[in-house]
Amino acid sequence: MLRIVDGWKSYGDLQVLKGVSFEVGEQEVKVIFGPSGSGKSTLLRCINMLDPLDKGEVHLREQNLMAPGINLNAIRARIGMVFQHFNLFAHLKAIDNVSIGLRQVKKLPKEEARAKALEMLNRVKMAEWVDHYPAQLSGGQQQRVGIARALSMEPDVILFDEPTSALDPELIGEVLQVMLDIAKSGTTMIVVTHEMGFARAVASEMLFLDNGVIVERGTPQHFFVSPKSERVKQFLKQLDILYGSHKELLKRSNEEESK
Amino acid sequence: MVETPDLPSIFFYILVNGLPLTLLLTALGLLGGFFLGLSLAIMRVYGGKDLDLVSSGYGKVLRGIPLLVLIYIFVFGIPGIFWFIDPLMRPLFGVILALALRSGAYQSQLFRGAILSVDPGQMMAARAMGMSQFQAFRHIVLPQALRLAIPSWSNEYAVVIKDSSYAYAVGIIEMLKVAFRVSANYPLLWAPTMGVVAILYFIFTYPITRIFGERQTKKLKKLGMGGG
Amino acid sequence: MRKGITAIVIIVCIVAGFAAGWLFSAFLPGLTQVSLVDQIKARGYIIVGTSSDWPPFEVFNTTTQELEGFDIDISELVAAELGVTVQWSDMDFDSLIGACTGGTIDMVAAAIMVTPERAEVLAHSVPYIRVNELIIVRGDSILTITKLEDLAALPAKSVGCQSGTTQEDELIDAGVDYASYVSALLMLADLDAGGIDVAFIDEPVLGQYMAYGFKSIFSVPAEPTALWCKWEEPELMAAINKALLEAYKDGTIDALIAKWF
Repeated sequence: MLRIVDGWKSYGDLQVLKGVSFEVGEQEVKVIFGPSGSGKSTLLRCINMLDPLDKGEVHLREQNLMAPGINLNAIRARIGMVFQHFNLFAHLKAIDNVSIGLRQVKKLPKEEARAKALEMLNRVKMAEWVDHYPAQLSGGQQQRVGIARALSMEPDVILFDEPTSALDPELIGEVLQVMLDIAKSGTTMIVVTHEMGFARAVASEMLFLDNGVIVERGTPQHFFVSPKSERVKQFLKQLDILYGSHKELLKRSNEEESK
Repeated sequence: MVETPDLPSIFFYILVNGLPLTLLLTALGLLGGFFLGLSLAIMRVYGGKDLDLVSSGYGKVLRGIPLLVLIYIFVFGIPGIFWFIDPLMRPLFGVILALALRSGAYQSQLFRGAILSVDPGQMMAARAMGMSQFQAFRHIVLPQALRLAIPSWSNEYAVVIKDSSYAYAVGIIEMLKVAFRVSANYPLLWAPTMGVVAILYFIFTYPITRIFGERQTKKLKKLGMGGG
Repeated sequence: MRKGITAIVIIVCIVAGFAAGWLFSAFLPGLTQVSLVDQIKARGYIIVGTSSDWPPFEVFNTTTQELEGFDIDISELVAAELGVTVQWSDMDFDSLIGACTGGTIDMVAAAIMVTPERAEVLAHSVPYIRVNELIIVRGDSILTITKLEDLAALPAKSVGCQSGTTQEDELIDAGVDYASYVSALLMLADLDAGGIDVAFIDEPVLGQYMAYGFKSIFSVPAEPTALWCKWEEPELMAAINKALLEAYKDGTIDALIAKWF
């Protein structure tokens, strides 16, 4: 459904992406991980054309996004994005953060947009907080509003750019839970994250990105049981130390699965 | 006014006879400066290199000319500029134009600062939702920039209301001119009259900058805007 | 470096834009084709510039809310000659000549004395009054002088005059380092407060400030006072002169002098 072919991107002399290719199928969840500076966030910005590739192709449902004359605004409306630092609109209440895209981009009438926004906030368990401004919400709550904002546009695919890495540890769980829920409901997702518990629970494939190239790819099982390259082993070992406490979540998720 | 006026009667005389034109000059000067300044600020931030240069060049020139000189240029120097207006009203329009052009140069700086202080991540988020750059500016950046600009904008009001007193030089009967008229009638009351007009300017400056400046700053902090 | 050059080019362009606007406005239709007298008659009023801090020539009476004084009455005579009313533009004394050359006002009536420098810029009418200029000091001063040049021996900035007046020119000629004021009012307030020790002023103006108790130690006959308009408008000047000469003939001027001085 979404295909990126031989993507290259540089900023000045710095070559950030060096020929990245992969494909995401319908209702699939891809997890991209790797050390910082490996080009993960750049890759996401290239996919939704906020920052187009220098060379290469991006196809969304067989439509070439790099074709000249394409309406990028319409394309971006079909690709949701959730940001590391939430990037909520500070002057708008939670409900308006979600409904503004519906009003301005999808041109829905006011009441309809509001009803839909309420539904989305309900889905991320933020129904009580609709009239709060972003500054009045915790990081985890803000990120859930951010997810509701992306969901409301009913995009073909949602890109998550390290959605939990700016959060205090005790707030990560609530955001991951929401992400698990929407992944299970059949949303196509590309998630840049180091939450291995989340990856294990829902990822159909994981990509290890280092220095602008995909070093290794495979199922969560593959990475956690028998990763091939030394670089990946080393990185996962570090993650285990950093994120070890989240094995709990993984366990809980697996239990739910088996029910 | 009575034959030997006391200070309250001088106060009210200047208030009634001078304040209307002072406020008119201030309001129209600020309004013109608002649209000009906002356009210049947008040119500077989004207009690319050429428009940025035009806009900042305009600011440099206008900030470098004393206001009284600008007023003389637009009232006496370019006599035909308001040929379509009644000759008696031309000086008034000349002064308003001078105030607006100058205030626009200053307002462009404060709006530029306000636009730049809106978190660029919000612009990115808006674009990522499929808004055009104009939509994102109009619905996301502009509302926040305007609120962020209110404290410094209230300072600009304080500057313009005081600058409007230069209009006395070209025959506009605003507060300072009325004060001069009073003191020409009662030469011995010259110093108290100047004191009264100073108090009047203060009354119409300080409370407004305080309300809009300090209260708005608190409100913005509550919204987490303006970098805390 | 290149950026600097571009900035300079832009600044030059903006200045050139102002200049172009200036030229353009000078050639706008309707402004230069019709004579000023016809314009005045068409609109039904003449715009007269004055500076209302100069009693008894002109002052804004805050009780009656009207301008009054010798120049005010004289200007009414001119308006009557043209068959129109007067609309006053009450501005800074220094602005008056620029306002008249720029066309903001049609005529100046502000006790302006005839000097060669002014006559180069604006045309003046026949004189309608001649007054004395006085050197005044505070009542308790012991200063005496026999000629204006004596003032040059005083400390710098201890002699005051109003800027743009003939007194200022005379002080320059006498080599005096003077302080200039935008209005007589400010100057006399400063003289009273001790900011300056000597002031140079038209005799009739001093009448308004009797309460200060200043005394005169020297007097100079002033240049004659006249009304002014643009050189390019001889028709208007003819009307002004006609009004003044008729007022001389029928005694109106004498009656007005008796009324105001």
